[in-house]
Amino acid sequence: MAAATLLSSARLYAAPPADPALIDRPYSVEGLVGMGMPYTGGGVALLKWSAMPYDGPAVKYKIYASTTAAGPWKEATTVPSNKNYASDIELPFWCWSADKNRHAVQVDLRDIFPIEQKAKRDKNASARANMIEDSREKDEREDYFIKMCKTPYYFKVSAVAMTKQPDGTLKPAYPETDSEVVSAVPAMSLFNMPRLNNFLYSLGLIAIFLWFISHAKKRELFIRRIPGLDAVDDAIGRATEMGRPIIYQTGALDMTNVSTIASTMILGEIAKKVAQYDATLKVPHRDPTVLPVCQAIVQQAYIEAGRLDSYRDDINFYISYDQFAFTAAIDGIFEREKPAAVFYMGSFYAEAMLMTEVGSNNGIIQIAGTDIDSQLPFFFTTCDYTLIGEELYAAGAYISKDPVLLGTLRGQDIGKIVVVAGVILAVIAVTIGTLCGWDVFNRLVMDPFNSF
Amino acid sequence: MKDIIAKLLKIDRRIIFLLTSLAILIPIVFYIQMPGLQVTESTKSVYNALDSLPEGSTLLMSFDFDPSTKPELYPMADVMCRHAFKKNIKVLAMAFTAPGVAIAEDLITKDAVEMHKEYGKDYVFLGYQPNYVSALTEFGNDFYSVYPTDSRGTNLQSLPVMQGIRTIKDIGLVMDYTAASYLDAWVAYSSDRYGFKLGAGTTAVNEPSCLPYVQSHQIVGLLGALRGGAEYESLLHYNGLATKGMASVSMGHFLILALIILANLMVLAQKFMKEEEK
Amino acid sequence: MNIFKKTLPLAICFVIGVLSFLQYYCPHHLSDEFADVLNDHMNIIYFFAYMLGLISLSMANWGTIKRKADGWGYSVLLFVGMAIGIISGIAAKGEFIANNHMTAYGWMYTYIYSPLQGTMFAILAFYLVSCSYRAFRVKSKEAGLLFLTAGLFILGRIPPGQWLWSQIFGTACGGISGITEWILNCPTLAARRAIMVGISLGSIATSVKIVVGIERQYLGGTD
Repeated sequence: MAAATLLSSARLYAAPPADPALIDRPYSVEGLVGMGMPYTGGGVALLKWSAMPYDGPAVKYKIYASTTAAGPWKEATTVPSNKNYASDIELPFWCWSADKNRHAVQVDLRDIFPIEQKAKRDKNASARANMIEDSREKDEREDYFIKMCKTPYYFKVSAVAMTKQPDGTLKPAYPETDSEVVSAVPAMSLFNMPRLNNFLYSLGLIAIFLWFISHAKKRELFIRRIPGLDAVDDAIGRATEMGRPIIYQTGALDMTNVSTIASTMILGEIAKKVAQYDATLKVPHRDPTVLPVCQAIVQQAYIEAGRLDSYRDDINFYISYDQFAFTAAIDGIFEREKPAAVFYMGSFYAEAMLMTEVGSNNGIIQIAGTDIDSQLPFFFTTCDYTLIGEELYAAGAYISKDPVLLGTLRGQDIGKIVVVAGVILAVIAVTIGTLCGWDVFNRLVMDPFNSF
Repeated sequence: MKDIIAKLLKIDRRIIFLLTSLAILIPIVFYIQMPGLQVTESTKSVYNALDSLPEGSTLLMSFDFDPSTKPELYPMADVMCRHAFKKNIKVLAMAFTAPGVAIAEDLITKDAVEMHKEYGKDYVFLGYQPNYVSALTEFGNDFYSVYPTDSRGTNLQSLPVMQGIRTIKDIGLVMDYTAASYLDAWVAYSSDRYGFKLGAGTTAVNEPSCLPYVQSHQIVGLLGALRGGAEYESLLHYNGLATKGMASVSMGHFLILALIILANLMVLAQKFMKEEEK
Repeated sequence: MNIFKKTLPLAICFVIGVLSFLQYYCPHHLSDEFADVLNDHMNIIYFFAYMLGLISLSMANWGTIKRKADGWGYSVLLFVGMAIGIISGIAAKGEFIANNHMTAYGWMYTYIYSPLQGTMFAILAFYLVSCSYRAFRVKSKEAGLLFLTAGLFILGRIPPGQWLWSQIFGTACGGISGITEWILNCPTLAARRAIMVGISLGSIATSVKIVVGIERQYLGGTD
């Protein structure tokens, strides 16, 4: 495929004459093939034919489609002849030949053969009736689409050239001559081959993580100091001495977000320490999906610390989903109850500084960790300790010192080394390729780094 | 002198709040014309993306913000809507946040009345869509499976404004106005997958987070906060909310800079005085 | 009982996790349908979670009212506000304007909710200025460089700053706008991309741990 790409990079034909009438034979289309467009969800046909010596601004290709080989034919689209080459379709070299001597046009059959429009609905129909009708129409469209993806469609292409007459009007230089009729089934693909690079990288990273997890218990892994997490014990101790509560926040997002999940993991470890120190813990929630998860985590933490008698159901409580209503409530808690320590672990947005500034003014120890980098400057200036980005994900492993979790940190580091090495090598290669004019080489280097 | 500096360094923050209020309010009460704004490449790209659309094409505006960020995002959405109406480009308005619906209706209705545009023919309100991941994925297959009706319950396919639109690929330009991570979802689930023109407008705090998408050409351009709106207005020669707000923004910026410089000078002075005493 | 509390949730997590991963690489219609089904199920879960949140909030505040604890009046206000919001929303069918008149729901949104939201967000500006005055001290070379960059950036983002620069330095270095664009597009973006790489790898690792069942905190335990 790469060799074909290399060989086909040069145009075979020189530029055509400006006046199409100077071509000494009728325009014809050669080498037409039809197929379903690969790597798509179906409904799209791909037509390819050879570039011709007369390709130029005055010549256009008309594409006709039909449901039968004999017609009737519908004009699908008209494309200029000096564009729409295979090299114009942005697909990677491992699954597409960027041939500059073959035209390649995608025809979306849903635009050419749309489903029949139903009669207009009764304006006085109830909302329920409309909903049922919407659902039925959606099912009909889906069924029609699935049937379309299994049906062969027929295509022909003709080249049309218009020349300007002395009186300024346009007239065809030659009568339209049709190509042979080809068929194509716009089938759905099972695997999106252009994303093969992404798939292999993902599998590689997962393999690295799993390998380090399986080998984690075999040797002790070094992990550098994270001052914010070293301060957790001090913060909890301070809270116990002062007799004031500790507030833990899991962030603005729901349980589908990885930072929230990482935060709940840290909550488990901190709740265990709080239970051991016999301090008071409060976990206000903004998202209701996080509340039951945190209730279970905190309860389990108290059980493991042997302090189930100290556990209360109202440790976790819901405030409001609204960003600023939640923030106002938190600020009120800070002002009234003056907690000794606050942990902000998760994703935070504009409310970050509104809470941390009030906390700072009330002399509260604040430890923050977030993956939302736009809020990092605000946390840095107002909190005592801040965990940046992936330190949030490492926090669970750091606090628990669990060898399996530490193993994944090593895997992440290897992943980062691979990414950095790949970027450096690619930059050097592309720089050399650009200086030497090796377009094909650049494509070979860049495509694996692109997302398709 | 030492005491004065020590007092100033520990000044009651309410005085700073008062100075901030004055810096922002005075330019609003007494309108101050700002010198010419230099337009960034990113804003020009968004402007050109809309300006290059032929008459009759479509602009989809996604109002993914709430009233808290309205001051930054409303002016840029307003000027783009006016630009679209001026060029007879159809406008579709949708929202992935519930408050965005009211903002969209308020903005577009106001502009439509002013520019004599007709609902259903020149613009339509699609309404709120709670599940944005599913919606963004479905947009590329069938627009009407996400929005079978408009926000008023009318069958969407029957409206003239939707003529020629089957999927999101048929839309000339999609603009996402957001202060949160909705742009990440737009890029990941929709524009990267289906290959249509996507632009964005965002707040100043979020702007650096969205710049990688501009550099990698995953979005056509980015309007950054009130300044982005003001730049767009200057390209359209329209004296709108953003241009009027730049005076307050400028004074606020100068105040921050002045206070930081003052604080550091006082710390320096304190340091010198201590060394002199020694 | 363990099979329902531990084994079954882990199995569901693994199967759905793997299928969701593969869904991204499969353009087939069935893959899109699977994603739709998952999203529909998530909507249902969210609904019950919101109900749970509402119940939690109501129970906490009802307890406050019963005990006549400090601030119980605000708990009464919470219930009154909730009732007004729900009743007016249902009565207006979620519309802000009906028959060319603003509904009660629309009135509350326009004259209570929007100004309150705007006010809270605006407080950020005041806190930002006071925090800058209090915390931004040039105590080291790095802090000095940060201050210089911030100063140039602030000047470059506002018209008077651009005018001032052009009067003093003309179009040197592409003008202050050019310097600002360079700061945004080069060092800031480079640092942001580096953080993004770390966060992405961390997210992948956390997701793998959850899908494979190594991380089970979300089940309510560490065994």
